[in-house]
Amino acid sequence: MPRQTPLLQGTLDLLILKALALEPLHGLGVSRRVEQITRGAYVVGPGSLFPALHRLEERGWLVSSWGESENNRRAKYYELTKAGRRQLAAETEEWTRVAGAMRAALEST
Amino acid sequence: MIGRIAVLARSLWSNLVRRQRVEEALDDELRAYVDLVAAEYERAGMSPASARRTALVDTGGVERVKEAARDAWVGNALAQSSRELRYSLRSLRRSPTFLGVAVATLGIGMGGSTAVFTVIKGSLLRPLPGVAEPTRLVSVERVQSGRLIAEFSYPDYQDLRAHSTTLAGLAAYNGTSMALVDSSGTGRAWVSYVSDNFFRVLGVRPAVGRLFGPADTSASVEGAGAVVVLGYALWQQRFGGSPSAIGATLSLDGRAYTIIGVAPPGFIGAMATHPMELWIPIGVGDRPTPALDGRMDLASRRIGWFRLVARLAPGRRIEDAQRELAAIAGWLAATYPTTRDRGVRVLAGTGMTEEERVEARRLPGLLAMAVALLLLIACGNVASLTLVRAAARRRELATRLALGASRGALIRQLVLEGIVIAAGAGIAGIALARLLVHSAALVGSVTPVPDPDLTMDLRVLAVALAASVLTAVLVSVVPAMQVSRLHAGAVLKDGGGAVRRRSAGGQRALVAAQVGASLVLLTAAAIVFGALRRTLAAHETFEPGGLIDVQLDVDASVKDPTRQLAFYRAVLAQVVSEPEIAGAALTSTVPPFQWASRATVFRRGEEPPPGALIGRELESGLRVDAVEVSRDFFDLMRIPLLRGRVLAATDDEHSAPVAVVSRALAEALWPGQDPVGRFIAWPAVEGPPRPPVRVVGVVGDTRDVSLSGGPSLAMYLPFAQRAGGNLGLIARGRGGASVAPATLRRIVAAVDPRVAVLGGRSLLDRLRDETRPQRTASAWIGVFGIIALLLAAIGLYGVVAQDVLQRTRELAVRSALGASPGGILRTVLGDGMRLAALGGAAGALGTIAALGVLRSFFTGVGAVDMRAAIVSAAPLALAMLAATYLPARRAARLNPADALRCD
Repeated sequence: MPRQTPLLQGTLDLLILKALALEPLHGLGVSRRVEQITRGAYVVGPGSLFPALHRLEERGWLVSSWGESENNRRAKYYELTKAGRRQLAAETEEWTRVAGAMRAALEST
Repeated sequence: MIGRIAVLARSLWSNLVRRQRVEEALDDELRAYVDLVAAEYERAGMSPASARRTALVDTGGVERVKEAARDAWVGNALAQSSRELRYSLRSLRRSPTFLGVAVATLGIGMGGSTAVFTVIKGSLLRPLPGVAEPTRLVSVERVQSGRLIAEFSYPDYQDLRAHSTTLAGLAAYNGTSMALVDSSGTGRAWVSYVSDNFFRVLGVRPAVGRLFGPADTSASVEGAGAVVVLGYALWQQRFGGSPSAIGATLSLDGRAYTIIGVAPPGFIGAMATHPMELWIPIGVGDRPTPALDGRMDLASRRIGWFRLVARLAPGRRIEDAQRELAAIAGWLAATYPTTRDRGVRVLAGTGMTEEERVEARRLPGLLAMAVALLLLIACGNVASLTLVRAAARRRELATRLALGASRGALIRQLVLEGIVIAAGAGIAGIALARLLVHSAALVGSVTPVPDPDLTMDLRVLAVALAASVLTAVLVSVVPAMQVSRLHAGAVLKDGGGAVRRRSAGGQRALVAAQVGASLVLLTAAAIVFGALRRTLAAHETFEPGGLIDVQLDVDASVKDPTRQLAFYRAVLAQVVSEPEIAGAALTSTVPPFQWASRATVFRRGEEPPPGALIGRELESGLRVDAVEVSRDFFDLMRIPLLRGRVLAATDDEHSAPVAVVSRALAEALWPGQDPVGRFIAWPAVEGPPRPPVRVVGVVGDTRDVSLSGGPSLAMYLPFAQRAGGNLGLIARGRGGASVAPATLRRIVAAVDPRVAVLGGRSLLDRLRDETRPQRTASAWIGVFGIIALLLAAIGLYGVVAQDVLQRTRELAVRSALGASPGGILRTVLGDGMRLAALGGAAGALGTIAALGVLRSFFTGVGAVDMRAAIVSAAPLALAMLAATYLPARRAARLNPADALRCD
């Protein structure tokens, strides 16, 4: 099992937005996708996942709808809104900027 | 931005209003999640049952996740509070004893203290009624040799009035009792003589007719000066409220006056404690108005006759007036040697004597202290009650914690419970206060404290409310803190029994502490109430029962002093020979010597030389009540003789002047020495010189009528050696029966038909009237005390009963193991009594400490108050017994199986 990293403040929201960028997912799907795209560094448990999903939905970045899951069960699917995509773009840019700055700072001699 | 607000609003709307649907959705979502995880495990080869169990464990507690998700919702705190509020209400409903006692205790404490404070303040500390803006009125007084003196001479008054610019008006007044004769009969009435601007300064408008103006007192107007303004009550009484009274005439002390107007309802003049019934001008020019002719010299600066009341000019403060009037007084002192060393003091609050002012300052402090003690008892009760309950609730709280409630939520709920209690108590308290004040207003209308101001004192109510809320919240934080330290598992495993055993020691200590604290607080309350009562007591140190009192208006018809004496002697002889009369005496006034003539006395040899009797010299003497009486006065009044002899029939106009003094006067003049045989000098300020009098006896004290109820400094003189003035007659019927006034009238008429006989009320009635505000207040202090006692008893009952109730389980076990009901009862009662003894001992120690503190506040805290403490301990013991016995009996009778299950 890969080493798990504690989530940085604010990264969970960004990761969820990113996870949903490709297609709508239900809760477990978001959790699995995050695990996958971070190569196992982050495992999001339901205790943080659902509050975050609800928070993002209340901000208008996600919408939810009930749908059929892969094994024919009812599940709640989340998908990005237009505002959500804008937010993802803005946060990605911000994150890249911060990450670049951090790397530069740490690599300087 | 607008879009964002719309989204937020929609969320808020669905979270709050369509809560149910939102909750269901959350439920569904989580169920689906668990299903999905379980399906994954099943695919990996687990059995359906273990896959499901593993999925649930992975999820980490569905309720916990839900709680976390809810926290993310907009407006969740709001929705949660209303849910928690409902929960708190339900939880409180489950313990009705606790809820009832807590709400009742705080409510009674709050309502009782507010009502009592309102009534006492309203009847004793009210501002002057019937005047405009009473707070802008000030009293102007003299300072002489460091003492305040209310009265100014007429010329001094006129100078101050003429030169002041900081005052919008300065009026002079004083009052006296006069014989009133009008078409409806004769009587006596309180007449105030006032300057022409009196009504204008006070801002009073007539109910009917007009009030005085300068035209009524101008020397150049023919027939000026003989005009009178009626008080509203007198107008109603004697003229039936008819407007035709205007223009009618009445006679005051034998002089005719024309009625020109009626004062508005409620107006009693400028002295709050001495209601006046009629107003006449002081004089016309510098000549006194007819009824005052011969009583005062308006041209002299030597003697002060008039009290001054002023209204501050707009924008001026009391300090401005003080500065200006002091300057004027300085100029007067420099100009007129008679007025040297006279200063002026401007004081807030009109129409109060110096003693009344001291009391007015003292009373609110005492009242506040009493209110604080009452609230302390109430809050203390609720605090200990909550603590006892907290111990019982540890299990419940631990269970909820284990089921996923967050600690924050638990603490919020406990605080909310406290607020619910405080709110309930607040409503109950306000209702009670209103009820009490309302009933006081009813009582007041039956026995008129003239117009008490009974608007509820909101400051007290606010303080009481704040105290209750604070208590409720603070004490609810204690169990909440316990919860935070709580390890749920440990408490639950203990199953209550062990917890009980462990916390039992602390809880017993709490009960004992409550007993002790109640005792200390009650004793303190008893002492404060005692001090308040003494402050207000017109404690009768003589026996007025069965006595009738009439005034003989001799001066108006018999002028010659020798013939007056002969008349009095004849009347007295006739009255005592009447078969229905057991005893009678002549006296110039009756105790409390509110209206006695005052004299300034010295030890002989220390009086100022004749002619120097002004200013400092006179002020260095003692102001005493000079009372002229006949021999049997002391016997009739049951005033005991302590030393020497009382006055005798031989102390007459031909013998050497003598006096009998009250113990207080003897102590003041010759501390620790025998006064009999010594001489008292009481030089006259004007008129013929007065020789010193020899003290022949000392009699017991009577109290004066003032709120502080100090003993009168009384000097009793034989009536035959008196200077002049009317005397009254007091008589007691045979076998304690009261004497008919008609009998006395008949006897007096037989001696001299020209002499009017006035009054004729029983002395008891008169005293009741004169001390009514004090007695009203005193009665309310009694109510205060009863409330305090009630609260302490209720609180003790609550704490003890809760404690015993919590032992139900333990008692059931004992019973199941074979203990007899009687044995259980004995055990519980024995425990209770041990606690009571322990608490009582602690309370006694605390009381001794409290006494030390209270002694520094109140003089004369002593045996009487200790008796009050012991008396107040009896109901406490009773409450303790009942609180132990009743639940214990119930526990003893319980089926053990039921009791064990009921936890």
